[in-house]
Amino acid sequence: MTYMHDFIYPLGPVHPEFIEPEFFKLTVHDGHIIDVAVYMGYNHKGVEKLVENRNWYQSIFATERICGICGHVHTSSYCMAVESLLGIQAPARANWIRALLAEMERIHNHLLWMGLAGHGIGFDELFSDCWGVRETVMDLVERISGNRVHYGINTIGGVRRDVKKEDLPRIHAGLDRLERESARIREIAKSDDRIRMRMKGIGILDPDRAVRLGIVGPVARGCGIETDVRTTGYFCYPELGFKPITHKGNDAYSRMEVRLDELLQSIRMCRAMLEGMPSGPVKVDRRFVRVDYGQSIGRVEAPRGEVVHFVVSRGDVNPYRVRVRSPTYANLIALIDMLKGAHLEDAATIIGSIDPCFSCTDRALVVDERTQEGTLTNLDELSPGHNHSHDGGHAHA
Amino acid sequence: MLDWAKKRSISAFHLCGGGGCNGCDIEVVAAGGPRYDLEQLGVTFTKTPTQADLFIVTDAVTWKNKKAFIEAYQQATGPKAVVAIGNCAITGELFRGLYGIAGTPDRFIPVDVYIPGCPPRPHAIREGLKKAIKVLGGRR
Repeated sequence: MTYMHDFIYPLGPVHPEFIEPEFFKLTVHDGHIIDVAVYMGYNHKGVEKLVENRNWYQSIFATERICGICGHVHTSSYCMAVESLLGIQAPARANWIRALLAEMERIHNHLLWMGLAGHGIGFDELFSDCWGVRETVMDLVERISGNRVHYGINTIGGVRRDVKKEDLPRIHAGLDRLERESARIREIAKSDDRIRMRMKGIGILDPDRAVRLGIVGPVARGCGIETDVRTTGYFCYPELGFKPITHKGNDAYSRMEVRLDELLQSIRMCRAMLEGMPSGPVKVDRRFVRVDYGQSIGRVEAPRGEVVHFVVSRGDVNPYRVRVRSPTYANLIALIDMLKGAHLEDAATIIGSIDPCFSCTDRALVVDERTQEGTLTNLDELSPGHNHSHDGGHAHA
Repeated sequence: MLDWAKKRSISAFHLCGGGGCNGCDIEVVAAGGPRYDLEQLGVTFTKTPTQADLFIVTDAVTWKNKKAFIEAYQQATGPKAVVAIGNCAITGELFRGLYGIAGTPDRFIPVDVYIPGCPPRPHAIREGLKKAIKVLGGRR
C-alpha cells in the first residue's frame, strides 16, 4: 500500500507488542520508516533515589526490583561493587552459585525472548513451546533459590543459600531435559521459513556503527563483535574456559542465532558448574553497618548485555549514590539506526530483536516527571499537521 | 444459552502501570503459558483494550504513564472487571511514595480483585482470576 503523504505512527505507550509501556513515534513515508523518536520514562520510578534512603543490605532488595527478569545480575553487580568497597571477597563457592543462577537466568530469559519473538511474528506454537520449556528452568531456579522470579539469593559477601547435595540429581535431570528441548527449539527456529523470512535482513546494524554507539550484549555479538563481560573473568568463568558466541549477520536473525547458541552454551556451563563447584562456605562471616569513603564499579553480563553498578560511599549507613547502567539503555540508541528505512510492519520485530527491558532502562533516565506530566499529551500531539517539538526527555535521531 | 457461553469466553487485557519491576508481567504471561494455561478458564489475551472484559493490572502507575493507563481502561465498554496483580499494584510496596509514582491503580480505576505476592505465583494468579470471573459474571 502506498500513501501519498507522510504520517506518524504511534507505537505505544500501551501496545500489544510490548508488555511494558513505552512510546515510539515513527514517521512513515510510503510504508517505510523515515524518522524515529523514542520517548522513554514511562517506567521511571526512581529506584536510584530509593537506594539512597535504604541501608546497604536493604539496597540489595531494592536493586533486585529494578528488573523482574534479570534481577539477579543487578544484585550481583551491586554486591560486587560493595564487596570491593569493603575489601572483602565472596568465597569461591558463593561465586560459583552466583554464576550458576546467572546462567539459569540467561536460559530463561532467552527462552522467554524466543517465545515472544515467535509470538510477535505470528508463530504462536513457538511461544507455547518456549514457555513450556521455560517452566523447567523456573523449577530448577525455584529449587536452588526458593523463588521463581526474584531469587533473593545474593547478599554482600556471598550467597544466602547453598546448593543442596540431595537436589543435584534433580537439577541434572532438569538440565538434560532443557538441553534436549532447547536443541529442538533451536532446530525449529532455524529451519522455519516464517522466522527466516520475517527476520533475515531486517534491522540491519552496521558493525562499525555498533562499536561507535557502544552496543552491548547479543545485539553486538550478532554484529560479529566479541564483547562479553564474562571474558573479563569475574565469578568462575575463567575456570570454565568461556568463549563468547558471535554471528556475522548484523540483522535480527543473527541476534536470534546468538541467543539460541548461548542458550545451549549456558546449559553446558551450568552442568560444568555443578560438577566443578568447590566446597566450602558460601558467605563471609562479617556483618557491617557503615562502608568507608570510596567508589567502585560492579560489572556483570546480563542476558541482554552489560550491567554496570557504580556505587559511591561517604562512610554512611546508606549508599551515597548508586548509578545503574542497564543494557537496554545502551541498545535503544541502535534502534534508531535499525528502524530507519525499515518497513513499518517490521518495526515491532526490530524493536523486539534487541530484547528491550524498559523496566531496567527507565530507571536510569533523567526525566523531569513533573514538567513532562503536563506537556506529554501524546494523542493531541499526534494530530496531523502538529509540529511536534523535540525537546528534552527523549532520544531523537 | 448466551450467558452460559459468555461465562467461559473472557477477553483479558494486560495493562501495565509502569511503576514496578516486570516480574508480575512475566508471571502473568507464564500463567497464560502452557503449564498454567488460563485458557482452561476461558481467559484469552486480547490485543486491544476496547474488546476487553477483564483488565489484568500490574505495577503501580507512574506519572508519565497515568494518562495512557486511564485512557486504555476507559476505552473498554462495560461490563468489565479489574484484577490487580502483585504488591506494587496493591500498595506500591517498595516504590510507594517515590517521586516517579503517581499512585496505585485503584486510585485511578476501580479494582475488584487483588492478588498479593512479589510476584504472585501463577497458581495464585489463576485463583484470583477465577474470583474475578465470578465478579464479572454478576455484572453481565
